[in-house]
Amino acid sequence: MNKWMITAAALLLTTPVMAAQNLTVWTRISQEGAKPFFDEFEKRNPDIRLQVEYIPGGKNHVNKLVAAVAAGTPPDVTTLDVIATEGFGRLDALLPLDDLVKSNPNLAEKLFPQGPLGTGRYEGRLYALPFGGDGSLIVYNKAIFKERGLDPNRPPRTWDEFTEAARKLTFSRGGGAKPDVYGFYYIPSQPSLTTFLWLPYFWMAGGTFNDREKMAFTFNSAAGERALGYLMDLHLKHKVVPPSAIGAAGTADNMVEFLQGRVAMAFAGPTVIGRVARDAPTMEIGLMPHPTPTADTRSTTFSGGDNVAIMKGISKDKLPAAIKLMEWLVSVEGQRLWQQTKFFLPVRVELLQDSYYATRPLEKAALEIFLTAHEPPVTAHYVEVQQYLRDAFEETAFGLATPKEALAKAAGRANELVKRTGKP
Amino acid sequence: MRALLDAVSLAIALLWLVPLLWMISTAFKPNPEIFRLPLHWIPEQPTLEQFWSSLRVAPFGRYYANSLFVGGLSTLLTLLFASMAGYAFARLPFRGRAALLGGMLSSTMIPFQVLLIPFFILMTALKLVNTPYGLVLAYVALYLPFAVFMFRAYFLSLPREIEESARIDGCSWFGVYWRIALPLARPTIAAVGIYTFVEAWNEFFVALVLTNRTATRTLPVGLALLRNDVNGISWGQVMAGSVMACVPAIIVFLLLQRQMIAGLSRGAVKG
Amino acid sequence: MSVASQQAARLRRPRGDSWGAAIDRAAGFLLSTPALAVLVGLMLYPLLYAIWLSFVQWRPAASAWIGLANYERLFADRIFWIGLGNTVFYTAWNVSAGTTLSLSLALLMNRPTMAARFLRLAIFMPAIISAPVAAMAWLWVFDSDYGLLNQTLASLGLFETPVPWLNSPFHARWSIVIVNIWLGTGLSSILFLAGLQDIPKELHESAMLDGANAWQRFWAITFPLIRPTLLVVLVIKLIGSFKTFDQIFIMTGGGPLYRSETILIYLYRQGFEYFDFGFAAAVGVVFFMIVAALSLAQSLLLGRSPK
Repeated sequence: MNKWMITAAALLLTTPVMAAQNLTVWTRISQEGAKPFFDEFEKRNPDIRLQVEYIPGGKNHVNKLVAAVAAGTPPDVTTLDVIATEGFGRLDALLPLDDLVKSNPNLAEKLFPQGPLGTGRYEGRLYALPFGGDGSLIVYNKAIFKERGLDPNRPPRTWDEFTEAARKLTFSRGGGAKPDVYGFYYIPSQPSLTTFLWLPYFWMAGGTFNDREKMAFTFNSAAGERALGYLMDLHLKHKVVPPSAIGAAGTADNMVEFLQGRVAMAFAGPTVIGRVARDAPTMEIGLMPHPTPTADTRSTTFSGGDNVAIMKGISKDKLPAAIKLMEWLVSVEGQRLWQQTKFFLPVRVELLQDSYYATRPLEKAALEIFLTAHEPPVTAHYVEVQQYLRDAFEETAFGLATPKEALAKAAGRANELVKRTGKP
Repeated sequence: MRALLDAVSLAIALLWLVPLLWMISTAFKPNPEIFRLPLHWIPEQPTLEQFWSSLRVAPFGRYYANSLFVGGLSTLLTLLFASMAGYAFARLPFRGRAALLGGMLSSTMIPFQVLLIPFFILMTALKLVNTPYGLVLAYVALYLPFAVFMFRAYFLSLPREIEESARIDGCSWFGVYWRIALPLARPTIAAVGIYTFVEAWNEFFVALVLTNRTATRTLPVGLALLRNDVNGISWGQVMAGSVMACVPAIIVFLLLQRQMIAGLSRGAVKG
Repeated sequence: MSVASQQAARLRRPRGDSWGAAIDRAAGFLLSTPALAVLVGLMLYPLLYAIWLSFVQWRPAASAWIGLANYERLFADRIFWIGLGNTVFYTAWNVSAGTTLSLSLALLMNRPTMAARFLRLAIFMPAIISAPVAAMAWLWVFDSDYGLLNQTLASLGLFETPVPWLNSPFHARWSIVIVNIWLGTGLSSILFLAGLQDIPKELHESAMLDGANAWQRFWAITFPLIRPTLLVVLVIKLIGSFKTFDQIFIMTGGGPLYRSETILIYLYRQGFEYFDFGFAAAVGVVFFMIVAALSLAQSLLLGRSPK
């Protein structure tokens, strides 16, 4: 009798330990892009159950996370747009990871490339680790290059070469007065792309985005004007971009002109490889890094993608499971799943040596370009400043202001924000 | 004259439907055909590919069920509360009635977006975020004032004699409301019910904020999530999703249009 | 006290002191209790909360009281005024052109033919589909390069270069006016149709015998008799237009360069993109006061009860 009771008590006591632990995870990545990561994790850790919310589409994920933080109902773990990481750091919504990465060899800082890792820092503390990478690049149509007498295996490298190539690639196939093929496609005011596209040119021109010591935004420098002037001249002066791209942010399929063979080069991200394979399977494409202002400048790109973070409100008993999940998501083995879902690029340099890439030159090129990525600027006001820059680009594109005027106005708005909030 | 007006009517009607017909046409085209110029109306290689691609991204069956449940329950509650209050306002003087009526009428002018953040916090305290019930409460608050005002106007327009004789026969006010006034208000119930249901079914902004799980999302939100910021809009997928989102409403409308239009018209005339 | 309530008071005859009688006496209050609860709990309380929020710098843990700073910043922001101006712009077009179009279409529908019935069906269709569906359909029609509208205009030889319907600061808000009217005409023309059908045929017949032409009959008979409906339609359109959000949010998000911005899109951006809940609440409070003032003016103009 006694024995039986003890057994029962023991059973009752151990039950909570044996019961599967639940973790709530939010992500802005689609199911197709992220589900394999979570499925595999559950398979390897049968004692942990994940409740994953996929919240794709623009700013939906960020908006919902803000609201949930406000209401005190955040998830346990989230992946989030690298540029939103600082905003949540500012809201004090994420768990600082500094101690963790020092003591846990599976999460050590030295495992990650500097550009992507820098996106997880805010005010000297580390709030998130890189999970998936996304760097801007330029895709080009090899057939049009050949058609216009350009070497498809030696894409333009400098700004001048690029302009020259784009002018050659803008022509009228049908023989009409207006071109029916354009050299380059990009939408000047695509919200996420303003920084994604312009910042590499800005950095290569020698610009510094902001000075946190002096609490000032400094992107309205000569470098800023030069970078913006260069990109806008492709539209306004050289007319190598289809006019309909101006202002088309959010109202068009950004890749369709390229896929239709109506433009030779287009601004894109790594997902373009899958898109071309699906929608224009016969098209032969190449990927090139952003051209540089001079022949001896190193090309760079913007470090986009998603980080993974643990929410500050997580309960103590769930923390070990959350750390386990994080370890898995950033591990080499986990990162290899990007080769399968292709939503983002891996953030581990080791993977470049994978035999997988030996037979996939395009994916290898995209990963190589991404690994040159420049760390994004650190500011508490990324979203706002991005909007101000977007306004500046639109004003320039519509001919309502010069790059100098537009950037000065944007910097003025940004600095006003710094003054008001007291945060750089 | 009659033939001319008929021709004009037909032309306007077709022109009016062009965006919807074009949406349907696009939804059945494979990707290369969507962008082939010159554009053509009849798909040359009709395909369901876009629908499958939409369904892979979004569980539309779940969205339908959610929209139906949320729309149905909010309509039911709105009708019940509004007819009760409308009757009280029309027939039963009580202390504070004028103030309450004034508050009710002026609350129709509060745009719900203004209340969204506080409302979200309130719903969280009640543990109703991410349940259909939070959304139902929001919709009842949104549509109730207008409904009260419609019912009150209708009850005011009814002749008093039947109710008076029922009172003299010893019927309680609840009895009068339930057994006499409410059955007489059938046209208003239909009009307000349809209005509320259609509004709740179509509502976008509140639903976007108050539901962040696939399991509780409604159709309009599910549709809006088909869009992707970086790559822009995948037209075939989005058009197929749009068709799926509005087909049930259109079928119901075509079946019930006589009653719906009659109900709405009568409601408005009495209102 | 109105005649109606005097009559009702006369009818209130207590029968004994039983519970039933007491409850019966309180019937008016009891019947309106659920509505009262909704009004207080789900509207008044959040409204007061929003007003409080508008005076603070919001933080999830501890918000700081900053007095009128949010309002000062709001009134100094050019974009707020653009949004407000556009809201008025959209409303003006909905109320004027939208109402005129609805009435004209209702006159066309008010005939006993198949074509008229089909017209009624077609015009009402947009009211059935949701605004996001409509926004998506129109986005596609408006597409600069592959949109039906530009391609049709090009094939008719009307325009050489594609018209940037939604992509230019000069066109966007006009394109949105088209979509607003397309979405809003269904309900109002059905309401007009109902009003028209209530006009006794004999009136028109006798006027015809008197030799009045269609134009004269419209102004002498139809218009005066349709006036109550007209007021209802105007009220619905005025209120509805001020709250328009979905289709503009989906089609342009207020751009390019805020030229299609509305005050609610401004509110959304401040609240859900910039995380500035306090400031967004201030926008909301100002918007609420404008709308309230408008409704007050309207009920003064149209008589106390806008029925």
